[in-house]
Amino acid sequence: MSIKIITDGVLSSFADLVQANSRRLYRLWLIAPWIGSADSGIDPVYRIVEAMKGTACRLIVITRPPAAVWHLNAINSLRRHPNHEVFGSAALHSKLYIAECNGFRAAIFGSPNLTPAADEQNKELAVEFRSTRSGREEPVSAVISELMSYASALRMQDDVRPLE
Amino acid sequence: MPRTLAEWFHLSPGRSSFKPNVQRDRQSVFCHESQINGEIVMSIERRFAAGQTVKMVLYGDWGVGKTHSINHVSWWFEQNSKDFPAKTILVELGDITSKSRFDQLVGPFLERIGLRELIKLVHGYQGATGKHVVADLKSKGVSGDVAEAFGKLLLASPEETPPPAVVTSFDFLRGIRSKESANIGLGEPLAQSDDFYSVLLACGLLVRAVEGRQLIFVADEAAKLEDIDNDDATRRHWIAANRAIFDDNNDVFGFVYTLSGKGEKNMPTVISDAQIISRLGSSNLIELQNLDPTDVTTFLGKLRDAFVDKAAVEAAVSSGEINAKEYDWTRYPFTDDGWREFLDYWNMNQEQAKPREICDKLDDVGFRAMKDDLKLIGPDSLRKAKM
Repeated sequence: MSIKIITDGVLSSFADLVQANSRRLYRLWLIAPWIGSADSGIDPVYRIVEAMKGTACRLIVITRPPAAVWHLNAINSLRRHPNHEVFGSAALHSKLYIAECNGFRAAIFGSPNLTPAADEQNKELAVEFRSTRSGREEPVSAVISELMSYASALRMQDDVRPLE
Repeated sequence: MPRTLAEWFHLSPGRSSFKPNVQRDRQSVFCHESQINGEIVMSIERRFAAGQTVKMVLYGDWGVGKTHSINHVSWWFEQNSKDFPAKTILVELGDITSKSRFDQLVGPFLERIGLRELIKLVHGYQGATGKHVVADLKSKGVSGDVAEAFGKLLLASPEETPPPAVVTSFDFLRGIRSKESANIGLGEPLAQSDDFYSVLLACGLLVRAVEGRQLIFVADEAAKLEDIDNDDATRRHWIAANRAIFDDNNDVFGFVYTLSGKGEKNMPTVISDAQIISRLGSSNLIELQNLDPTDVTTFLGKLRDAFVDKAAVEAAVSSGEINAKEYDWTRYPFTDDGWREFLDYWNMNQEQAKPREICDKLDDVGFRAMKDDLKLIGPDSLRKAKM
């Protein structure tokens, strides 16, 4: 188990994690009010979509209903992954990223939206939790389980609706 | 005398740490066994079966084991020379700038072959074919000045110091600009991609005729070529050279690039260009991935078998030097908890689960244990190594 504070390239770190674990990844949660993508190269959204290519991983995205074209484009990039669910909530302010793998789980939460600016320009702060345990006996695993419960419950709230 | 890891952990003679050496250990496969014996060897066998030359791009993260794998492939060719007659010439790419031309690779390849060897090959070619070297090379697609320069190597006897004109010809083929080349009748210095391709083609023809083997050039660490992406003219030059190399029309010499980087999409354009990838074929684009948790266990087991003197360890257990209650060969040099936590670390940090990183950490935790007078590595040593 590990707990780490990340201040630089939070989303690149998460993309690295997703890429390295893509063979055993079975569910990915991306929760951020704003999502943007350069749709190429080292852009985190692009790398996450590429890493999931050919996997059966289930992708769950919760974001604000997109008002800007760049936001919609980024959501559409994520929709390229066949096994996806995208939800919208106008009141969303949480930023939480969870990777569930066989034998391993990781969660990152903090200030960064899932955008290139958050990864490269803004001053951001996030906490990363990793554990190879499941359940709530081990402290870090318990926190990850709590965050997963939060994400799961968020999806069920009244104002959170599937985005067409 | 300070203690050494070799003495403390009873490493086999000649071993000073847990790190493999790409040359000494080239016969061994510590990891990626299924990919080396599957995808890589399969690609080689498939190309030989179809009468084609070996063409491959091997990529993966830094430290994932590409150089070791390619050195193992060279060894594999030596072992299977009867069925797969080939000769590999491996060079690591030097410093590359946005203006570097293809001679940046051709030069080191020729230096690796060596002038004396080339002189022998040219004489051997004339003997084997009974034809005029220059005319014959030209008839097989080698450009005029390049064929002439190879022909001038005949001015030297294989056993004697080469005369200046031969050295000048060799320099000319390496892309070195000098006034002397005009004095011996060679044209403008080589600059075009097809000229540099011709140099490799001529080498391939010589080796095929004289030794009956396929010449395979291996360019290690080609990720450095990403700097070339910044200059349009240079990028076009490299794409043209690579297109010629990977084209089916090149049935003379093989070529392998190894690339460090995160994923196929982040390769330098001069390799990832659609025209090159389509010529190469997706099955010859092979990724070496980080080691998954099972791979890490296997890797450590193979390192232990190759690096540790088991008889010496068991003698140390019998003498009480190593605590028999904590010792288990399948976990050596760790305690039970140390072994579990070491594996768990790589399970949690798949981004870093690469042979080079694992060996570095193994040396580090071993050093910490040795400093603390511990013959087996436990969780405390892992903490001290920030694991």
